[in-house]
This record gives sequence, structure tokens and C-alpha cells, in this order.
Amino acid sequence: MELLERFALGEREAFETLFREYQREVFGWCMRIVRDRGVAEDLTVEAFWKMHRAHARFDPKRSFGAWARRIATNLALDHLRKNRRETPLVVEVADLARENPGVQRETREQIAAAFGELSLKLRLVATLSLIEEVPHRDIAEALGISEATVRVRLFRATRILRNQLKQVGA
Amino acid sequence: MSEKDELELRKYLQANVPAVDLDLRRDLWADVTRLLEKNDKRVPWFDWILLGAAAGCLAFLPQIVPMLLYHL
Repeated sequence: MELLERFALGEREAFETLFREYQREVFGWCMRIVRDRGVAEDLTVEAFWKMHRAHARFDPKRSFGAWARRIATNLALDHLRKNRRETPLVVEVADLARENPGVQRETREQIAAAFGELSLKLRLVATLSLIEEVPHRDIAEALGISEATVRVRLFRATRILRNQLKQVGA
Repeated sequence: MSEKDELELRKYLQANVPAVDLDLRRDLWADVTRLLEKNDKRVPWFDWILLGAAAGCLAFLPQIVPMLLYHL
């Protein structure tokens, strides 16, 4: 029997094999969204726990990676909604200063403020597409929306970001 | 808003926002198993309701005890 079929039937060994195969990918995906190592690790663990609980609903004919990303995205979005003030989607100014001291503080604050003007949905698409260069298809799959919707959200986010950054002279 | 504008913005952001480190530095399997075990031990809420209902029946309708024993 195939690995995915065994997982869908609830076999623990199959789950562990899939976990080992996909934990890095799921962690990387969470990291791209929340940009915080500790939070991304917690979300990865929770995502796999949810996958284990939902094994019977998984269709072995479909991609496990895409399903895992979708679950992780929903958890990451929930986390961002709950911690909107504490977790900026784009970047902490302090992180920028540590990792790239050459960049002017003003520029960093302008970018953070411009992203702060976006709704969570637009911010997520803008971060994944503009900064992380994730293909539209992958974003659409993870968010459960069409590629056309991704393009619309990206268009809106780009317009707002450009206007915000233009206003402050960036 | 043209593709050129989007490209310009993309370049500007990528130049000013550092890439995140996507490398997972530790194995998370132990954390997952801990979470699984913790939740395996948890009794589902409907089990508590069933238990409460059964206890209530026995407490308020003791006459059903011989009937239950007969059926057992």
C-alpha cells in the first residue's frame, strides 16, 4: 500500500515518514509568513498534529505538501490575527537593524508602516509574492483561492504600498 | 499600475527587507509526539456528558439497576 494511503488509514509509521519528509518545508512556509523562528516551530508542530487528527479526511490522490501548506497557512493566519500588534508580517525594525545595518532606519520604518496599512489578506499575498517570490500558483493553493484572486490582491497591495511609500518620499 | 511599477516595488522591498532564515535547526518530532500523547489522554467532552447522564440515571432512577443487571 502507498505511503499516503497508509497515512489516510491512520498508520503512525506513515505519519512519521511524512513528517520527516515535510517538516522542513512546512517550517519554511510558516517562517515566510510569521517571520519568527519560535512561532514558526510551534505552528509546524500544531500543523502536523492537525494533519494527524484529520488523516481520515486526506485524499491520498492529492498532494500531501499542498495539503500541509494549506493547514499551516490557516494556522499562521490565525496566529497573525490574534497577535496583530505584536507580530508584523513583514519585518521587525529591530531585526532589520541587526541583519542589515546599512539600511536607513527611516526606510525600514517606512516599509513597516506601509505594510501596516494593508489588510492581513493583502499583506500575506504581498509578503509571499513581492518579498519571498513565491509563485502565484503556490500562494493560491495555500490560501484556497484562485490565481486570479492572488493577482487582484497583489495589484491592490502594490498600489497601496506604492502610494504609501511615495507619500513619505521613499 | 503597470508591471514595471510592481517590479520596481519588488526590487525596492527585496533590497531593504532581509530574507528570513528558512533552515529548521532542530527536529520537531519529539514536540509532535508530546502533543499527540497529551491529546490522546484527553477524554472527549461527549464522553463526560455520557458518563454524567449514566450517573444521573443511576442516582435518580435506582430501579433501573436490576433491569441493567438482568440484561448484562
